[in-house]
Amino acid sequence: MDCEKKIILSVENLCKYFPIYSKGFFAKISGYVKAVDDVSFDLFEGETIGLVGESGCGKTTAARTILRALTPTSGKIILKTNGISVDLADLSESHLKALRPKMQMIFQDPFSSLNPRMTIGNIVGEPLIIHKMAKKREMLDKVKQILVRVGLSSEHLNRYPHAFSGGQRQRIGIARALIMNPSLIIADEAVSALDVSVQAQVLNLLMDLQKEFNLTYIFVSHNLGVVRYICNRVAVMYAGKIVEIASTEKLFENPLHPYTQMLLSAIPHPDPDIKLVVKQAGEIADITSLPDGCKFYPRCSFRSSDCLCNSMQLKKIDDDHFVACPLKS
Amino acid sequence: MINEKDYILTIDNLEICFEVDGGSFKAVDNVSLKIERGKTLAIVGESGCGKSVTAYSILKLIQKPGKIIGGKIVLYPSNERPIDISELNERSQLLYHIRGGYIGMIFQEPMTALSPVHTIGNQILEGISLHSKEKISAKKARQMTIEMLNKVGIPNPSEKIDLYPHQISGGMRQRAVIAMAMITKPQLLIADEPTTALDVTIQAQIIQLMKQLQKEFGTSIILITHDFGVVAQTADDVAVMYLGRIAEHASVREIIKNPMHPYTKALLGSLPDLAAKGKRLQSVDGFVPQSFDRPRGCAFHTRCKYAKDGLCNVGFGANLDEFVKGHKVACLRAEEIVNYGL
Repeated sequence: MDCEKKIILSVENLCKYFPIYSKGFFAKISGYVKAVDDVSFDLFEGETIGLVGESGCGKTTAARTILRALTPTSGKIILKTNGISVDLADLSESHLKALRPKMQMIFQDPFSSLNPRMTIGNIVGEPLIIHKMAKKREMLDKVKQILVRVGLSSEHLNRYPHAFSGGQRQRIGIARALIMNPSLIIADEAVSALDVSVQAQVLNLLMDLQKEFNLTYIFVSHNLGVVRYICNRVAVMYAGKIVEIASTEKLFENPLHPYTQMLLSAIPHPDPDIKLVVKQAGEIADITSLPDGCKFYPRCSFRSSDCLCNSMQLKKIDDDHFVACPLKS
Repeated sequence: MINEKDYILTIDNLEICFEVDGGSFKAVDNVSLKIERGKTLAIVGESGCGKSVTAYSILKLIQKPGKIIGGKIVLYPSNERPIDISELNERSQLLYHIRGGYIGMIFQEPMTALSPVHTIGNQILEGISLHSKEKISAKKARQMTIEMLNKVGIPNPSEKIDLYPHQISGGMRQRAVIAMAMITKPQLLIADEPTTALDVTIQAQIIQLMKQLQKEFGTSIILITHDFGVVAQTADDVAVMYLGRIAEHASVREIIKNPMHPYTKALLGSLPDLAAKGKRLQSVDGFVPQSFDRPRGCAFHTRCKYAKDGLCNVGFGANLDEFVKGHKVACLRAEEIVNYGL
């Protein structure tokens, strides 16, 4: 690890299992869906890490568990702010509330994440009231400032969400996250619902804000183009596990895990001269019935019988490049 | 009527109007398109630009406050007389056969495009019984369905045919929807955002599948999308729409390598895939105006960095003119922009 870079969050062996109940009146737990299974990574101050993967791979669950919107089954989530490190995983709700302002979330759907019956001023200012950080008048001043900062105007204060377009609503969501002066922001598919021209505006805004406030982002997305553009490091998830984690350049130029290779080969390049060659076929894993050993085994074209015996452990290949593939060591 | 090239469908000066709350606005304004036989035309644009409405009008599927108020849509089926769709009565038998028979449709959401209470087999089969010219026995129809399921890449088609949509995955559902559209061997296929709801890996498979089916059956495709990646990989021609009008129309290579309209340039500039890392994306300022709030003059002038006062914000905007051979642009300053490299 680099000494200069300050770790702000380290996730250690994080697991989130959801029970599957058998049918009947006396429902018994018949198994578990391992939505997040033994995930570990460090997050450095001021960087953006991307969590990518197909739908159902556990990227959103991982993000929500890190925020303690979901209680983890096991593992540690160590947040380091102001020189103090706290394990969020076993913190009580009341202690957690004091830390909540440090970690904020931007949601995917700008249409359902804003209460239609609240004005923009109240939506953006509510966190200040909840955390008793400002009185009404002070709150409105702060809201005005932050609205201007995200590219809206202070006139918008008394309007309702329906009066805004998708891009503007997403800016409101960003303002709401930013008003607490957080150090960590989790953006869950924050630009997926937007048109490309507006998506570009929001991406530019997120990058400007990062520089200005020294923010750290966890950027959950399935859009690899966006991830490549905005992230410093990328973690690829498959069936609840991180299969590869590396700096963006290394991951996109030299993907090592067969799953990452397959994912990258599937991106249609917006250039008619670069033809799309799909490396492998196969369906997205059914997370309720996975093989022991490598979870990617059924879809992998390099598989051998050894793969079923080896567990998926991340191995260091290179500085800042880790892969969980038994064949790549 | 058909000159030089062989077209499957021509749209001339199509105008679609929506009447709401006493007022009315044009969702599609003076759109003309020609689709070559066996080729793919992509209609690209942001939400609200009228791309879906244009495609739905081909099947006369525009719903109530909307109305086609002008224009001509003519279908040229091979070895048959041309059919003027715009003249057809809502209840005519011919229109019934055009929907699903001559023209197939793939909808965006594979979740909602399938009936949850019928097996996928029965839903695909329906097309055969409704649209085939000769009588086909139930057994034969089932056989044909299994063959089609096999063609669209569904494993064990003879078992999967009796499953309900909720029992299969999203990618498989989209394959079933494609099978449903292709079972009647339509001459024209309209695909409305066929891969938007899917993961990249599945999207890549569906793109390949559509190309392969096009080769096999010689189907012409109208592809509606906002994803330039998908366009570059599938389309032959591209029409870029903005607020109900076509801004630029050219071959896919021309549009991507040599965009002339400021809007097309802006769209391509805002793609993160093409941007160099660390550089700011050239985003377009502002947002798409509402269709009922259409700016005067060129509709794009409010967001255009080339807009010139007194030229772009008056009148009705530019007509779609052929600028270079095969490359049509609707911009009053196109010549200046291209010649002087503004």
